[in-house]
Amino acid sequence: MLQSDAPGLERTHMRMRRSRLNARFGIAALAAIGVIAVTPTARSLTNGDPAPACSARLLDGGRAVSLAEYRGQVVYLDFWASWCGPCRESFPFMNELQRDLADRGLQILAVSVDKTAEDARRFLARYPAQFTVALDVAAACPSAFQLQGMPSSYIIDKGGAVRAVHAGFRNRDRAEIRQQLLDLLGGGAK
Amino acid sequence: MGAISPRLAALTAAAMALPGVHARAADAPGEHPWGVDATHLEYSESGNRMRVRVNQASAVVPIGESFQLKANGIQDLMSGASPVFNAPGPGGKTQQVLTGASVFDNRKAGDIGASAAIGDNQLTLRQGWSKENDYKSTWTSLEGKRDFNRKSTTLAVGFAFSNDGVSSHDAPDDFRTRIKRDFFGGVTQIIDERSLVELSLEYSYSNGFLSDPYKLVFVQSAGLLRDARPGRRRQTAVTVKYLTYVPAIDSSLQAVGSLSTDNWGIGSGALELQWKKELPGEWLVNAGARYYTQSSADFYAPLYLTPPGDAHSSDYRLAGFGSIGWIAGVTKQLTPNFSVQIAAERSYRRAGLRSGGTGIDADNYIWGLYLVTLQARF
Amino acid sequence: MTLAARLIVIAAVVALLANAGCATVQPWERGTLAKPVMAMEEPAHETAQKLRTYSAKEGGAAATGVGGGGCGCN
Repeated sequence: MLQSDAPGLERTHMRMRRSRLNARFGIAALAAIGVIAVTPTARSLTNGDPAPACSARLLDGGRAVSLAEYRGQVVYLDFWASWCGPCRESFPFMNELQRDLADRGLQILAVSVDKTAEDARRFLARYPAQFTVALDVAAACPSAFQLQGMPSSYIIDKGGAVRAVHAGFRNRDRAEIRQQLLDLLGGGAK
Repeated sequence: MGAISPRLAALTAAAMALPGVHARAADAPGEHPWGVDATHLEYSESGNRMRVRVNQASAVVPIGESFQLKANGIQDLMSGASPVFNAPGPGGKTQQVLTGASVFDNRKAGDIGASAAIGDNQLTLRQGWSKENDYKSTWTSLEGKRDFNRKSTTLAVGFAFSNDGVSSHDAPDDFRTRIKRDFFGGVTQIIDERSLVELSLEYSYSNGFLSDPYKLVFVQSAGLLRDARPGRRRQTAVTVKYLTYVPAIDSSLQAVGSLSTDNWGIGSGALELQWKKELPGEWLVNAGARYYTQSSADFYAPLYLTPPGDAHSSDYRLAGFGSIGWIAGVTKQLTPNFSVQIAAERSYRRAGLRSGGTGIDADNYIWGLYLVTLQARF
Repeated sequence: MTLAARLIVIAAVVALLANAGCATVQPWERGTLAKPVMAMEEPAHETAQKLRTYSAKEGGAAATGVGGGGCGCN
């Protein structure tokens, strides 16, 4: 057994303290980098803000469609992409919403931010949609809506105001979204 | 003489989430929260030296929306001859002296962990154990991770503590202690739509019995002495990773560079290049090359002509050497829930490629490994 | 200043510069980063096996991974 650089107990303790201090300094430095690196985030849309203008091209047929033409209806605006994993779960959910609430006046508009229609269609081949799907290649819509993360959905009331913003799609969002839509559609539990 | 166990790396500090080699895009948080992996790996060295067979299984179980439990189990079976010391050979060329018969060693290790994810933050605590005939280890690690800038920046910091006991076949119940503390920090930053860079630092401090009880050194005048290393080791390592997508070849290219230094005089550098490409049908192939070089420890010598100082070792792992090797792998997503990966690696270790210090050609060998992994995600 | 402290300061400067010089990538522009070939985090067990092999056989050390990148979803 060898202790070649530990001649005296005090020196040992000092050396250990110094190297621990070095390491702690290192962790503190890295943590500080992280804090400093936070750039101020843009203020995102909240409850009550009027929904920005948004137009896109329908994947079925290519006709231009805009959010304005749904004024007077409750709109569920969803931003998705073929590369977005959670969208594999949100599409079946939106099919359920379409099946259950479309005849109560709900209008779903799922806008893809894919770069090509081909990418979007490939996703739809595996996860078919019974609701309106459009493509916004220029990404003017997500920009206008100050999208904070993918996927994101916006619930817009009959007057054209944003009433809820959902960043990401998780299991716990399902019930919440359904309830928010029901409240706006003017009904109780179905 | 007993078996040589690869003790030096029984753990890597920063806990990582359950793996994914992804033939499809990596899961977002909350996507497929249940996971099970099984891996079989075989490692062997040229010239009837060491062979290792490894079986490993891991599982991840979600608890609610914010928590995860993880568990890992691993079993190693080691056999083969290992170098014990170097001796003068015919024609003035130093030779290795290996253990005689094939020896077996069986290692069992496991760890459990818990992760909490709240907003952009994640905290992971892990506890691990490892046991074999002549070596036992207990370790704990804590890692924090946070996303910034709408997930363009990820910062991680971690700390691990391990307490090891080293004995030998001659005196199997006589354990000598070794303690290691690891500090880790790293940041990943997205550079543009198709590139990202990662910078990480690691500092470790070990003290206690750091020598190898099965190794000896040959001293010309005096015969054989036991391997004796300093009682403290401080290592610092920095790694930079750069990953970019190249549209022209529809592939990604990754470069990883590492540098390390320690108070034993061992300095090392490594460079790894990797190419990855997606093929139709949810296949993924990767191929790469790796270059590694290290300088020998201050107290290392292949053998001694005069009696050495307090610290002395002829362990080939502390010698000056370099290695060049290749890596290749194939991954296939079999069903939406199951994927399989096969990977292989081969490396040529040569004293002539060392970055400094001493090394002998008798220590040169070729090693190779292959592994098969099955992954299930629900 | 010890070598470790020096390295950390260099890392801090590099990290800050890297962040400052980066183009802002919007959440809807992460399609390429979401590709399977762009996953930076290697499988934990594969890396661990390899690291075990490397550091069992090599005297040097390498810092381990952070994760991050990808589609940034959820």
